[in-house]
Amino acid sequence: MNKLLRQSTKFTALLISVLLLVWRPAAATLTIHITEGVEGALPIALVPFAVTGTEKLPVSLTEVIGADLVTTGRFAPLPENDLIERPDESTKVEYSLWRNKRVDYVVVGKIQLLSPDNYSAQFELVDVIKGTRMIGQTFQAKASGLRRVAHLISDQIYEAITGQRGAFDTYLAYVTITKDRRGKSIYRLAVADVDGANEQMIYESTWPIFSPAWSPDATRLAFVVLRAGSPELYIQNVYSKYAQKVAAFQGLNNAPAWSPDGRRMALTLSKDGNAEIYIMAVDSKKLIRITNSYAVETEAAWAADGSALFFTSDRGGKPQIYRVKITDHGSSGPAQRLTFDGDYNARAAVSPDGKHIAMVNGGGEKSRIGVLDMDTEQFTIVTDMDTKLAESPSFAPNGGMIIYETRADDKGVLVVTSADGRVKHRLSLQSGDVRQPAWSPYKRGE
Amino acid sequence: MFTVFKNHPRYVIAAVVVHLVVGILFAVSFHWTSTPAGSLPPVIQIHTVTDKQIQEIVRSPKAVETPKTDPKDEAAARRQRAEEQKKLQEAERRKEADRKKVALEQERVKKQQKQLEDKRQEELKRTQQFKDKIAAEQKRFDEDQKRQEQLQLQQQQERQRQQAEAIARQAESKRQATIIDKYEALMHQKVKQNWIQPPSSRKKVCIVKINMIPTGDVIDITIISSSGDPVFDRSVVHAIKKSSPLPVPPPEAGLFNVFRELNFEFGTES
Repeated sequence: MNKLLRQSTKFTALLISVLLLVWRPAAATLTIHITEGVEGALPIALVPFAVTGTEKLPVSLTEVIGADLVTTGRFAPLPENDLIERPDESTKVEYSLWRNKRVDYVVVGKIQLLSPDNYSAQFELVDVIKGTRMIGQTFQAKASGLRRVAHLISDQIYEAITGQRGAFDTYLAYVTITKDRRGKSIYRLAVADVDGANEQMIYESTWPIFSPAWSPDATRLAFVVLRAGSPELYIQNVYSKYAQKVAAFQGLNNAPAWSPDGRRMALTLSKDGNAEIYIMAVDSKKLIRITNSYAVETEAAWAADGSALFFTSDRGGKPQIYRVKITDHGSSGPAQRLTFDGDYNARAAVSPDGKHIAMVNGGGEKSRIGVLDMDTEQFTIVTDMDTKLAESPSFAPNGGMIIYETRADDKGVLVVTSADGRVKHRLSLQSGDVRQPAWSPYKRGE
Repeated sequence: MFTVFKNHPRYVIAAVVVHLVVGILFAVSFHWTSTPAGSLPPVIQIHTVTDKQIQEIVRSPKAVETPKTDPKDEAAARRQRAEEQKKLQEAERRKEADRKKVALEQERVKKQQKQLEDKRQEELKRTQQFKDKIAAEQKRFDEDQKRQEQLQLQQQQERQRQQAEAIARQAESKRQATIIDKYEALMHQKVKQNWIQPPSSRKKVCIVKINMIPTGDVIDITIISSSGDPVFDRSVVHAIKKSSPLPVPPPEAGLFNVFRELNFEFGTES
């Protein structure tokens, strides 16, 4: 009997252990870990807006919106031929149809000509995966304002989906180079919408134009004209076209940078013998010297809160980015070197949130664009491997994109990259040779 | 019954006779058992007087025949006769007494025999009872033994059956684990391909609980741990919804319960 008991105990133990092996406890739900997704663009269907009251619109809003969204690299608009239905209201959207087409979002809308040159444009954004209407708005505009309405809709779509403010209703400033009949170069400072449309000439010169810099309110541009080998600094209102020469000191008058409050401007002067950083009061033109060394100090950029300047200096033998804290009266403490990746880092551009510094890395033929994460001190190259002569990085006001200049077929082209370098888009502009891009801040007071 | 009787009267009669004989034999009842040796009481020696002896004793006076006498001798003869008569009577009386004595003795012996017989019977009965008791106990013991053997056999068989089942289950669980791994991988692949990870996903983790129906169609998604970024969370929900129906094992695999409710963890802390 005892033996029997022992055996059965042994057996019970075996049985339990086997059962434990077999049965996953009901409480422990299986968890599948997805550490990485795909670096893809979000499929979005832009259904051409239904038009009433007119035969033909001056511009297709959905085309403008589509181009805007493509630029970010985060959206893949469905080709128009693949649109399976053309609803004009969110309530008419058949979610499952779009889901089957592997579409995540659908944009629908209507445009109505209310009275001559007075349009009403309405759009709605639908999340067809979740089956919800996300946002919608109605605008009123003249024919000339319809492109801007499209950019504003792009902004809203972008923000609703990505959580980041859109930067489509902003400007790009850049310099174009063309040849006249006699083969002489003509330099033009131009301003256009972010998609390159509505290009307007701001300043024209037979002398090279450099370093356009936007005022924080996006109304004025500071720039340098290399007149007869001697740089002069100008400020011009992009709307009134009123231009003002603000600095023409002996030597360099270079690399202007507006302070976040717009009242001061950092610039490089060599009037005292060596290229140094100064801060000039925009109204009084009063100067404060910030740096003072035997080395070249130039290309100042403001910290987002205006408390410091980033600049390029070769005080260590090679150009590197330094940071110096500033007060109303000058610098505060010694400059601090920030970059250590490679032996050439120059032309700092500060992201709007102040957390990233874009710069030219490498110099010369091999120059690329790198981004330094100020929190992690991680340095990332955002240009492609075969990129040459990358120059002049400039952040979009939402920080999500960077525009820079590079060369293709020996001509300058502008490339917009996502700030992490994942997606790039070459900007198509009317002019053939384009350089020195500057992305405007958000428009204010409107 | 009657046809049998009619057809074979001789056999029937014979059968009846045989039955009767057997019946009588049973009725008479045999006592086969012999007195067990060693357990008998000591034999008592009895002096037995037979009837023959008694008759001899009775007959013996006849042998003394009186011869015919003359009247003179009448008186003497009478006297003699009286005397003989007397002797005869005396002998008769003695004989009677003897007979009585013998009868008494016989009676006593009979009684004693009966007592012995009774005692013997009693003894036999007790012996039989004892034997019966022993036999019953033996039988009970045997039956117990048999029952226990049977029980042990049954238990052993049950154990073997359960062990075989356990082994089979283990093999089955291994097979199931393989299938589960496979479909986990398939699900992972499908969801990963459908997850368009937002650029700003670093250090964000979102855990969702999903419920499926046996076709793999996701019928419910619950965010059980948000990344804190609505865009990241939405990308996760989209990834799941776009992956629906998820690849699930065929119904015959019987594994749907493993996948009925699942957690998906998107992103990494680093």
